[in-house]
Amino acid sequence: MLTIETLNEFGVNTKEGLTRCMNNEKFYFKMLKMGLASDQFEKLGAALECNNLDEAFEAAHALKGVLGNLALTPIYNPLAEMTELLRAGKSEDYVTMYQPILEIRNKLLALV
Amino acid sequence: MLNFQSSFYEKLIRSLDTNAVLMRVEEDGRYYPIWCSKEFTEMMEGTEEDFIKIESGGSMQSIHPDDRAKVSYLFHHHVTKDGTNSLNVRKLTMKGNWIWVNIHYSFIEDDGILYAYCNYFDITDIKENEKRAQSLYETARAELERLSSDKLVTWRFNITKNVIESLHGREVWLKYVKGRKYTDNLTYRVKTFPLERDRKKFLECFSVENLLENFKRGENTISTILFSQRPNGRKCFVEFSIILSENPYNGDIMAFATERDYNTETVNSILLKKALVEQFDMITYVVDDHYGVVIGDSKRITRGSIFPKKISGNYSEYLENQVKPVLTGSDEEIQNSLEALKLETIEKKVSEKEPYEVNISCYTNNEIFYKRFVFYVVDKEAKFYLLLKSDTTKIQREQIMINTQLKTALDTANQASIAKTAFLSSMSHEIRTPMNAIIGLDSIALKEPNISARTRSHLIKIGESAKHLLNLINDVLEMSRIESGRMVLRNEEFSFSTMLEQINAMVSSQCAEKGLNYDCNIIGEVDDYYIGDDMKLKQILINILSNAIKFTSKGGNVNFTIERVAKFSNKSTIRFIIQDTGIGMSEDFIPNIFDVFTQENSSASSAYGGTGLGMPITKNIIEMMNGSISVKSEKGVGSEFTVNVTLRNSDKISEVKHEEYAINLRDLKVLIIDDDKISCEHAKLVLEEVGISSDVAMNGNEAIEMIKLKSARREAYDILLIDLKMPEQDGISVTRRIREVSGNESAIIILTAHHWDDIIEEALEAGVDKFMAKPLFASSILSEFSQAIEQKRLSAEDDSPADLTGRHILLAEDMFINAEIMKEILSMREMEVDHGENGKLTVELFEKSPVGYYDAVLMDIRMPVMDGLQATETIRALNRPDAKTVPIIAITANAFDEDVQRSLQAGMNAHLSKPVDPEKLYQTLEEFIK
Repeated sequence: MLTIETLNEFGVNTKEGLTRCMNNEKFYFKMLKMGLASDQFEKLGAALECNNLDEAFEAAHALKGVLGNLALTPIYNPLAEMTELLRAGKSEDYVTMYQPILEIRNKLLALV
Repeated sequence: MLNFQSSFYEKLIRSLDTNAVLMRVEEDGRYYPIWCSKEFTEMMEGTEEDFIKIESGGSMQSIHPDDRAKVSYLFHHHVTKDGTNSLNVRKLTMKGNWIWVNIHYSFIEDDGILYAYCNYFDITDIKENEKRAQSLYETARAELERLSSDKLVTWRFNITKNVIESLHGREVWLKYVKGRKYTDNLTYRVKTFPLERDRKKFLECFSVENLLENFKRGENTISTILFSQRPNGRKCFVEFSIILSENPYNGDIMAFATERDYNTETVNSILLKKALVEQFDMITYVVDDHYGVVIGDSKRITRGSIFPKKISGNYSEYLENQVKPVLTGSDEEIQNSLEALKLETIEKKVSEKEPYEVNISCYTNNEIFYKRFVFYVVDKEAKFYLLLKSDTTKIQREQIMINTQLKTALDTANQASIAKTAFLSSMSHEIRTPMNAIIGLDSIALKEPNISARTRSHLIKIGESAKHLLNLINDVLEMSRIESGRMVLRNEEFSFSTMLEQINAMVSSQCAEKGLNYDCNIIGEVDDYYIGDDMKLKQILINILSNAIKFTSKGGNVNFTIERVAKFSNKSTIRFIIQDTGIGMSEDFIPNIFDVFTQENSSASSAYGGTGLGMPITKNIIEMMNGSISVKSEKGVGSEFTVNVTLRNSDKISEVKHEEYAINLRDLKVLIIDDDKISCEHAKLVLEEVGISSDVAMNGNEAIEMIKLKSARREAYDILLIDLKMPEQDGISVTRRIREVSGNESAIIILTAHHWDDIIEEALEAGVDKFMAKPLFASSILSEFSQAIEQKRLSAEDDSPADLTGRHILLAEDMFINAEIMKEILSMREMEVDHGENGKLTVELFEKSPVGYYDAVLMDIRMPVMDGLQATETIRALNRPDAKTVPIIAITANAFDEDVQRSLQAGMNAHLSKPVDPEKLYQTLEEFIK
């Protein structure tokens, strides 16, 4: 079950997220669920697999905006870091880098 | 019987070629002419025979009836009634004309017969003249008596007969003196003069002998001024004058005397004269090129005299001979003086304005003397002028001396002042610039991780010494600003409680550090706002409190008490009492504490530090505020300073708790603009010490770019610290440009090693809010920054934000979640949102809307089909009036400066980064929609 407490345990800045959603918990959770379920995660994973960095950046950037809005800090922070690397067009082992991000996302998504 | 014809006597008489008659006189007084001379018959207009016939037997037919008794008496007594032997009688000639004759009778007895020899003089002419004189005499006497009626006393004396004939007047001693002896009266009157001097003078002047002697010499008027005591006891000056005249009837010498009050004249003449003489060494009338000295005594003027040699004479000659040769000065001055004294000039000038004054300088007796000629008009038409001449040498010399002294003093002072200002100005820069480097490098060096404890200790001491030196320079400059009157007090509304809090924050931390107990109390009520110079007030209070801390040892107390002691209609007097339990001062020293460079125990200065200017500065500032400071102190017990300051009341009541304004230091955004790397680094370090992070720009252009970006991000710098002296653009031009580009959102503080009095006006006009001395110190940053920001906020308060309710917002966002969240946020403030899922759709929505329908566009950047930058450019290029004006705000995860720059280039107004803070979004919308 996804609760404020469990989110906090994961390191989500629920306070900030709630503030952005005008302290409407229901709305926040609704958005949260949508955000976690976003197919952009899969798009990003696929693009990285194919080493299509441009597409990967598009997906990462879009996700970054959403995650930032929802204050999903534990996913947002590493993703933001990756986004900037992709923006700079640097060649990194993005697949490995994406692995822990996806893991946290999947854990949270399992709670939904 | 005498044969007269043959007698000797007859022969003798006949031989005299005279006008005579010889008569025989009977015992009964009858007479018979026996002979008359030829001259006599001619006078009588007849013959000897006719006369003898008519006169025989004493018929007296030829004598005027009024004169017959006199003649009869004479022939009976052989002498006149007066005891003389001559008579004036009127005689009738044979032809019937009356003539006046004077007859001189000689009675001679010869041979038993009495003869009368009568010698005749025709005095008809004399008598006629005498008659005229008589009537004149009578008229004059009447006139004199009439005139004398306003006199105190008038008398008429007969000097010859020594008798008083008449006496009238208001002030007489004895009423019934008529008929008394003149000499008796003299003896009586002399006693009425109180002064021996005047008694003597009176007797000398008016003794019978003197009067007669005067009369004999032809001096008919004798007059003298005497000091007299009147019958009623009043004392006064009198003018006693006597006019002498001969009574034509009897030849008696008459004296007409008057006595009149002379007090007024005495005062008028004598005192006026004296008064004038005091002021003027000469009073002269000038008429028709002729002068006459009225008052003046050449003997009075001992040196440098141009007193006329003659008591009266020709004015032009006097100028030519006595004035012109001694005039001194340039040729032009001499010519001017002569021109000014010319009669024509006087005539012209004095009729324009009276008095007409001419001042000249004369060189005589090897010295320069100053003379002043003052002309007055006596009679304009008659061209009769009065000239008052005075010697102004003494006054002029004193004046010249004083002027010279003043001028010298002023010159010296001015030179000293200019030199001092120039010196201080250059010193301020020359010393502060290297000091800046020393302090900066010292603090940087202290950050080095690998320095030894010994080096660290040295570095700390270097820093402390440098700071002390800098304080000294600052104090000296401040003192000179006060002394030269360049320090101006501000008259601005300020928050009294904020000021106290700032003081307390600083003082309590210092006390805590030193282990002192600090207590601040407000007695009664004080207002939240007053009008005055809070910076200077704070400065003096902190100065006194710092002293209290400095001179109190660990465990002691420092108390700060504030009380409003009076409230008038528009002013309040606030009393601040600062008490400590420190070392105190001896009573003898207290008066000296406000003198510069004094500390009771000179060795104490090494122990306690300080510049010795703190208290004098404090006192001077308090005096400028029309306040007062007093001290009570006891050695070893403590000191108590009382400051009374009157501030103007403010209408403002604290509406907003100033806690809201309190600066959260961590949130402060500061940009340091300085071309000098060390200065920048040091400033950054100092700011970090107090927990403020800052950005650095090395020149104006760089700074402006940074400010633009920050502004677009809605994260404008709170404070811009700008160095005054920069190579390309100085701090003031940079300020001007910043204000043009980003408006009034940041507080601008100019940092300088110079003193800024000379540029302050230009700076304020350019948009500078404040000056701070270089180098920066952590201790002053807090108060200076918070003041600058509060000032900024107070001035911005009036801008009321726009109401967002019902506004139409166009949102471009491809991510569904983001859009939902954004809609939720916007709906909280009751805004209506239209959503375009990419740039193209968004542009279409805008195109379709009526003009002015959308109040703002929120634009995501990264979107499929058409990104936000393109969409913005497209909207801006649309041919409709709101295309250029509608605010477009980027909302994006692209947070780099380049992204912000691109947004701005595309035509967006602001650039907010995701995740968006709702409050920030509202504020941005409020601002742009307005």
